[in-house]
Amino acid sequence: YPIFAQQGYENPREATGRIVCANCHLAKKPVDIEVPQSVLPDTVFEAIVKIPYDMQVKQVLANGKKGGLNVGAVPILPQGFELAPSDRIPTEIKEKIGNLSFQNYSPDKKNIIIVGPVPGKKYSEIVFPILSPDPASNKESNFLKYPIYVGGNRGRGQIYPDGSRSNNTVYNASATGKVIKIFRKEKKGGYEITIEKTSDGRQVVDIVPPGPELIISEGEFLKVDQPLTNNPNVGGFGQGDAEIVLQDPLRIQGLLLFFASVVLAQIFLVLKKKQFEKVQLAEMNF
Amino acid sequence: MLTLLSYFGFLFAILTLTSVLFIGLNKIQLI
Repeated sequence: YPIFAQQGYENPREATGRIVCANCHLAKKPVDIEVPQSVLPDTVFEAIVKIPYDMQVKQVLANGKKGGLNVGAVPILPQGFELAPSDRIPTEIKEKIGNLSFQNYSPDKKNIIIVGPVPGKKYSEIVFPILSPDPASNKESNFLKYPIYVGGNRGRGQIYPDGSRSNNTVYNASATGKVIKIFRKEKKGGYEITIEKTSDGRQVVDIVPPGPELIISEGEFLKVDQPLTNNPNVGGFGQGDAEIVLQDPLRIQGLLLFFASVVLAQIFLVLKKKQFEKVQLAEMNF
Repeated sequence: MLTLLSYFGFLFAILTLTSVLFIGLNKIQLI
């Protein structure tokens, strides 16, 4: 959940460039971001984050039952860029957004937006309305090329922030030995696996919560850390980046004026040559 | 869309300007 990151980390992007969601969502899956090549200051534009996955697959829920996947995303915008206020978002972008509600990562980090968890079937493409800063009024921003980082996730995580495992991951044997008993809990589901250690003959009990399926049987000999269950995880986290130019409209106008002057100069050079050819013809002294 | 439109608008404007100058100056026998 985004709230785990908000509680645990002041900045969701670590110095290495890794986005902290990857600390709990261990599997790697692709994510894509689309932004305009350049934007004018004080303009609302859309950033589209794509979180693709197979819509047919189901994931293990906390109670061990199967259900659809949720998605979430965190775009980390450059300093000064922020979520567009709702009265400035054009209706066509509003329609694309749907019923999503966006949130700032923290009150002093308005450039980092989070969304999720939301149903992945409907929102595997998330449109973020973003307002670009105006360097004329905001002295911290400049007309430059900026990087945008994005993290996107589908499915449940594998570990909780306290270090405990969720039921959406592989469970391993805690000791080397023989499986002497597999007890299946009837009510809630899940297993208690009793292993007799080879080293001292003591018994250890490994508890597997409902969700993952056992791949071992009674009487089998296990090594320490050998997987007891399959890996039920179908989701994963991915991160990517894009570049955006905060463009000064004066520069574009200047460029167009320069183009026009070049074209005019070329035309007049040709005309001058034509005129001179006429003079040459009249004088016939070449 | 705006980018495409302005690009072709620019090309069209230059084409018109060039032909107007060429034909017009030819008519008054300046070139």
